[in-house]
Order: sequence, then structure tokens, then C-alpha cells
Amino acid sequence: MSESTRVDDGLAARFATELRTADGTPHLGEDPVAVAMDAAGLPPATIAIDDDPALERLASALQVAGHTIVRPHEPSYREALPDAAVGVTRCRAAIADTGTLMLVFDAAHPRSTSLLPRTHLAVVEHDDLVDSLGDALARVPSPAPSAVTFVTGPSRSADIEQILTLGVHGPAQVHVVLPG
Amino acid sequence: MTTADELARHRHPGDPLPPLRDRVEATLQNVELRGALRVMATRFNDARDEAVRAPGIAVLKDRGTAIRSAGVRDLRVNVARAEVSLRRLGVQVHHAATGLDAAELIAELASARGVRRAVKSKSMATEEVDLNHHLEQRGIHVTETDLGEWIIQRASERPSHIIAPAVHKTRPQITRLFSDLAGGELADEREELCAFAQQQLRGEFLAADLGVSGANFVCADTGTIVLVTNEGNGRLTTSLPRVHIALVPVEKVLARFEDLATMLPLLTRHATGQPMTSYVTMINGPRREGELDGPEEVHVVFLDAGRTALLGTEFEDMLRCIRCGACLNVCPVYGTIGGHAYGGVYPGPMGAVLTPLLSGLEEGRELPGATSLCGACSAVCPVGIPLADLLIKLRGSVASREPRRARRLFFGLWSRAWSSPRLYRWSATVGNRARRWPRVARHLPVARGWGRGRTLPAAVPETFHDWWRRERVNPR
Repeated sequence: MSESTRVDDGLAARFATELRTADGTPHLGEDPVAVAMDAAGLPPATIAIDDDPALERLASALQVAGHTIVRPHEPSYREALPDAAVGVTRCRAAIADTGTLMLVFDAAHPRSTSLLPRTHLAVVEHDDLVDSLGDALARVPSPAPSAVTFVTGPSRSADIEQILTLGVHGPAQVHVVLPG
Repeated sequence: MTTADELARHRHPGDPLPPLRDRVEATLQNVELRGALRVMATRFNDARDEAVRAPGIAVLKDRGTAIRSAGVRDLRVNVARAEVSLRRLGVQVHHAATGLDAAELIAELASARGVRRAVKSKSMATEEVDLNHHLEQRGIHVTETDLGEWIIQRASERPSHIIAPAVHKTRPQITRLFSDLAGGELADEREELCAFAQQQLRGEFLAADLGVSGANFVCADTGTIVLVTNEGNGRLTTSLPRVHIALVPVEKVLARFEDLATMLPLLTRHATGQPMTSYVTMINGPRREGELDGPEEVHVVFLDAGRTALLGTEFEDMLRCIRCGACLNVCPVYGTIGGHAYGGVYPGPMGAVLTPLLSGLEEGRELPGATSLCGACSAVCPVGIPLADLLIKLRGSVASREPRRARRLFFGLWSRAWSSPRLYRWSATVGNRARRWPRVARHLPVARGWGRGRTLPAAVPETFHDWWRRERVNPR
């Protein structure tokens, strides 16, 4: 194992620890298809999947399993999305310091996929992992995309009795598949 | 005599307020409120203490203080640069000199675009300018979507904490409120209440044509609008409606995008104790061609409302404030009376400084007195605002504006008397005698106001001077 790989393995483990602290669910070294199958539950469920080469295998596997797959390039995306059970995205960076995903939005990666469904599943690849927020900010593409969102665990509120409730407006569950 | 419920009710800027003493007394009667405040302060303070123990936080505070000081010093330049950057991204930029201008400008923008339904993410700036009222006057249906803000909007109340607006509401009160809305009994359980709110508000998001937000920061070099949230309503507000308007107080501008690497963790750790909140959203203008969501139009309204007038004055430091709320959580006065007693939109130590500065010394003149000057606020502030010092300076400004003959005469005589050893000794004897009859003493003209709520020190058998003379003449 090379020196650089070992350092990166440290990043994935740190990301997993921090994400767990923020009430998210890390999946270190697991198969994204298996994680997605578990998150989707019994078919048929509606699953939104961003248009991303890294998600194609996952999309076909879920379709074969009997789920309804919605993609941004399909005209049905906007109408189907509010009823989708799971939204699957990639990320542009994954910050080990805080267990944070940096999502960069464009035509193939809409804001809604990670926002409207109750469950958000993100697939992080080896090269996405960075140490700190500063490192991630340096990876925001130029020219600037219309929007970037940093996601750290599920949606939360403590507005009733100052006690934490998960999934108030955004997803109640955030699964992140990390390279093992 | 006013009541806590009356104080909680929504108030338009300039509406008359009962005197501070009555407001405080009313909230002290509210036992439920005091319990809720205790829980709130403990939770926030424990979480923050834990989060700021992490290594490197002291360095982060120094860096953040430097970034904010420079930002305030170059405020006008930074706002001008932000405007250029925002326009380059296709954002329409407006300037409002007063709160009323801002509210009218936004209402006008909304009307001109045929807006019928607006959703809002939490913004103290929109509270400051009473925006909902102005939108509603144009027949626009406005819905607050932060859970706490929605609770108080439905109750026709106003926020009592800058980051936990409904901290004064108990769960049974919220259950009653939501059950009335639902037209049936909801279970008195947090999960069910949140689910009800989420379901009601999701419909509002999908139907709205305008999203209104504030901003935690705007970066001058890139034109990036930054929102720091936890629930996700900020994301929905800026993703689904076709128009997004952000009301941005001018001091929110940061010189550089990279400053966020310092300011974001500083804010979240001091506000809720989180290393990062669930969501940090950065907006660079309207949706681009081919994109499926995001607003078609983005507007930024820069709000001055008394802020640039503070530049170059002894109160300039206050413009560094990033609204984390830490000073409220540590303040013994806020912890006892809660937010509504302060009267203005901004409570606690930051409010006691900001309200008189922004709304004039007349409206907020009593607020610098609503502090114990213990300095806990100055110590906790992530950007080093000397809040206690500013409060003392404000007390001075207020006092110098009120040339009260009687007060001056009293302090003049006092100063004269205590400059003379003989008169000092005499006054000590008289004062000590008077304390033997505390009920009488506290009704004397000057002591009446001061003595209320205070326990007079117990009388001693003899004064120090008498004791000293006796001891020297007759040593033991």
C-alpha cells in the first residue's frame, strides 16, 4: 500500500466518525448498490438519481430490482421528485474534519435530489476526500456554479423544547458510502 | 400593567412600549418562561463550551476578529465590490437607507412580479424591518418556514432569541396551537408536531413564487450569498420559488470568499456548538440554463438602517457582530427575563447595544441599563466585541442627553461632600444610622428607585472611622 493511500484511508475513517457524530450513517468500504437497496426498502420505490457516470451501475441495478428510477435528464424528474423516497448523489468534496459533503449543483445535479426525499444517499470516491473546509472551498469550480451546499448529516431542529428532532424539512437520513 | 403574553405579541417598529421596569416585572411573573430559559441556556452553553475547547479555536477567534475588523473598516468599499460581483452573476442589487425603505422596496418587487405566496427562511433583518406586515398589506400570503418562526408566526408573536425564536414556547402550548391549526387533537409529542409542521410547510414551498431570506455572509470578491441553517428550509426557500430576495444588512459583507474557512466554523461553534451546521448554502446568482431548480431571479437588498452612521464612531466595533447568539446564552439578565422584555427585535447584550444605536437613543435608552456589566458577553464573543465597554459608553451617551437638574445636583453635592474628610465621616455615620430603618431608608427620594429590588447592606454598630479612632486611642 502506498504512502498516499494510507493517508487517504485515514481521511475516510475520520469522515465516518464525524458523520456519525452528526447523526448521519457512514458505510465504509461497502458496495453502493447494496447500501442503496437497503435504503430503498421493498420495491417498487421511487428513487431519484443524479446524472453522473459514477452512478450508472447503481441506477441499472436498482431498476432491475424493480424500483422506479427518476433521472434529471428525464422530463418526469420535477413532477416525480416530491414523492421520491431516496435521492442519490455524488459530491464534489467530502470533508474529513466535520463529515461534510460538498454538493455542487448544475443541470445534471439538481438541488432537489438531496433535499426533497426523506433519505439522501451520497457516493464518495477516493479523490473526493479532503482534510478541511478550506481545502473544500478551494475545490469550488470556476466559474462559480449557481449554488453549492455543504451537507453535514440529516436535517435537524431543536425549536421545540430545545430537544433535537431529525428530518424537519430536509432528509431525515443521510447515508454516505465511503471508499474502504 | 403589562403581561408577558402582551409583550410576546408581534410589535411594529415604533409601536409604544411600556417602561423597561414594567416589562421586566411582567416576564418575572412567567414561571414557565423562566424554566424554559434555564433549559435553553444550559443546552446552548454546554454545547458551545464543548465545541470551543477544540484545539485551534483561540487562533480562529483572533483570525475572525481581524477579518471582521478589517471588513468593518473597509465596509463601504466591500459593499461596492460585492455589488459589482453580484451583478456579474446576474443578481439584481438594491440599496435601502431605512428599514421602511427596505420593506417597501421588497413588497414592491414582489407585487411587480405578480407574487401571491411567499415563503421565508429565518432572518432577523426581515424582523427588524417588519417585512411580513408590508408583504401582507399587498395581499401576499407570507409563511415563515423555520419551525420556531412558524410557531410564533401562527401565535402572532415575535422571536425571543435570535437563533431559537420560539424558546419561550412550551411543548403543551405548541401542541394546542398546532391542534387548532389541524382542526383536531395532535399528540403532545415532538415527532408528531414536527411531522405536522413539515407536511403543512412542504405544501407552502411547492406553491410559493417568492422565497425571502437574510444572509449570514456575502463575499465581496465572488458575490456569493451564504446561508447557515439546520432544518433545510433555507435550501427549499432558495431552490423552489421562481424569485429569491435576500435582505442583507451591509455589515454582513466579507472581503474574501476564503474568509469563510474561518468565519463559518467560528459562527456554528459559538451558535449551536456544531463543528458545521447541517447545511451551509452558497448562492451565486440565478439558475443557469438547463438547470431544473433554483430561482430564475435573485435580488439582494442591502440594508443600512443606521449602520454606516456608526462607522468611525466609538460604537463601530458592534458592526463586527455575526449574530451567533452566544452573548444571550451567557447573560444572567437575558437568562432571567428572556428576549421579549428587551422590547426591540434584538435581545440580550448585543441587542442592548444594537437597539439604541439603530433605532435611536430615545427608543432604546433604557436598554444599556438592562445589564449587570459582569462582562460574560465580552468574554464569549467570537469576534471580540467589547460588549460590556460599549454598554458603559452607551449609558454615558444616554446620561449626557438627559440633563436632569435634580440628578446633577445630587451627584454634585455627593462629590463635594466626599471630597472633604469631615463631611465624608459625617455622611458615613448618617448613612449607617439610616440603614437601621431600611423600610424608611428605601422610601427616601433618591433611594426609592435605586432601592427597589435591592437589599440594603446591614447596619453596623459603628463606622470604620469610629472603630479606628477608638482602637488607636485605646489599643487592645
